[in-house]
Amino acid sequence: MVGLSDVADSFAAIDELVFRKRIISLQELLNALRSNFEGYEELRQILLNKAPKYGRDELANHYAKIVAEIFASEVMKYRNSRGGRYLPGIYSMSTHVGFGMLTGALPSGRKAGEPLSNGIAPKNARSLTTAMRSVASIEQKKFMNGVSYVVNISPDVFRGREGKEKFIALLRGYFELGGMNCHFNVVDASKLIEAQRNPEKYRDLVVRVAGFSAYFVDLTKEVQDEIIRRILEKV
Amino acid sequence: MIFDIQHFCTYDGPGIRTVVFFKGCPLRCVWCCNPESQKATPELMFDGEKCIRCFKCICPKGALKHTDEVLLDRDICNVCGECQELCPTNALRVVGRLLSVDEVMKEVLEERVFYSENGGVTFSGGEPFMQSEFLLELSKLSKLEKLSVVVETSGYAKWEKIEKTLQYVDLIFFDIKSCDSERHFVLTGVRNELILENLKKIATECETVVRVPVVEGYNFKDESDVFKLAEICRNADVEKIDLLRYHRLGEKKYRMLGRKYDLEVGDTRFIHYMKKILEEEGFKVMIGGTNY
Ligand code: SF4
Ligand code: SF4
Repeated sequence: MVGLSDVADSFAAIDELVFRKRIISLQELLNALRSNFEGYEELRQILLNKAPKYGRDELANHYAKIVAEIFASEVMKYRNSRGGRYLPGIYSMSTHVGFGMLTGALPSGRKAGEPLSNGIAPKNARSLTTAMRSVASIEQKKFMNGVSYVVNISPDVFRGREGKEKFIALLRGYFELGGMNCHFNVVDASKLIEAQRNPEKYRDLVVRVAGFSAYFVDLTKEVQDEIIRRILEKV
Repeated sequence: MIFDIQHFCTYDGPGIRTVVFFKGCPLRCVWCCNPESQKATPELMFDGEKCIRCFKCICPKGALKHTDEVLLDRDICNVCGECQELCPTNALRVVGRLLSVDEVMKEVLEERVFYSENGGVTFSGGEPFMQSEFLLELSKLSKLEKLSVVVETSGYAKWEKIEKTLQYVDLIFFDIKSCDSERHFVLTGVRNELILENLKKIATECETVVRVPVVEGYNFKDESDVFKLAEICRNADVEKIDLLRYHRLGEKKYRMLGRKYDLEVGDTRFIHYMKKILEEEGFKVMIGGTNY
């Protein structure tokens, strides 16, 4: 399965904004999606900013769980020509970029052609730990073909001996909650520069700002430049 | 009154922590990087970069005018928050929420699985001791839950407000902004006698790390300032000093609050020189909470 976060965020947006709060009508949403949000920027901003997100809010986490479970039990029903089972998995390798190119606009606020979410990772989490809690809340053991959870992080988040201890605490927590798999992708300055140019691809990249860490793409250009400079100069 | 709760903080004490930011501070440091932490009441922030000029923000009080951009009249605005609901981009956002002790604890405990043995909660600000009853309750409950409790303070509070809480606190980060009382007054709006007195008392009851924001040319000008700092820490029996590098990351937030920020800071290498002097004086010195 590819694009779990997009699907969960889309269902959550429809549930919240169309049915619960009635801020948007279904017809309006359809029109916006058909025109890839051309002339609907305001609506797109509402979808991006006023809807619950997987990795952040209960409603969207709930949809992620439901979608994952429906998918897993459906796949398990089928047999191949030699009678073997198909095993469900949530990993995209790099197909989330390719499939994204072929996928139209979504109610999550994602425009046509933008990458889908990577593996089981949320696209718009509040923090790395809230992301991990959401990811672990999905019943990963139903995915016998495996899940893939990629965490993009800059090297200075866990520097030094204390940093190592914190890293261990983070992993312990995640696996204790039922996580099955997690890879860390430690990025360097060149990746950060690329993330400045293509924020959509790097929504989940965590960097150290000052006394705290944050998602790189949420920071202003000035702050991003400062962080890049810092990593380049190793200060 | 809280202005933020941040999960997964790794620099405000040992382990993985949740930081609870109290809103309201008795000091007005000219370099403050969290200007929204200063006032003890909610404030409306406006982010011009996020604004898409859709002009959906209608103010019942008439505080919002639309020309080719959005103009906010802060004298009329009573921070009711209605425009925040109408704004699709969250360019208009109210900072500061009244939360109950239970609400804060719930958010803190949600992350418990990541705290391991030494992680937990950090109360920061603003000045946590300004809301001393609230802080006392939160610290007590956190200790009951066996979390590590850290408090970051400016030290500027009556001793009665500090005293009762300390038994539930594992570590205090205590800010020293300037060693000279006159200059302290100019840079922060208050003198430092009460602060230094509290430092001695706190350090005898609780593990204390002195934190020093180094704003070269403002609060630390030359070696003599550094020696004064050493003397203050020695008198209070504090061994650990954490030097904080000055940064301008808060600059944009001043604009968002309709305030000005002008500070031209000179040579930022001074901090390494300070570290060297303080180490020679026998202190354990870190820069920005880390060893590199
Ligand atoms: S917070 Fe209320 S009073 Fe202030 S600008 Fe917004 S709508 Fe008007
Ligand atoms: S509603 Fe928000 S985005 Fe639209 S003009 Fe007002 S502040 Fe800007």
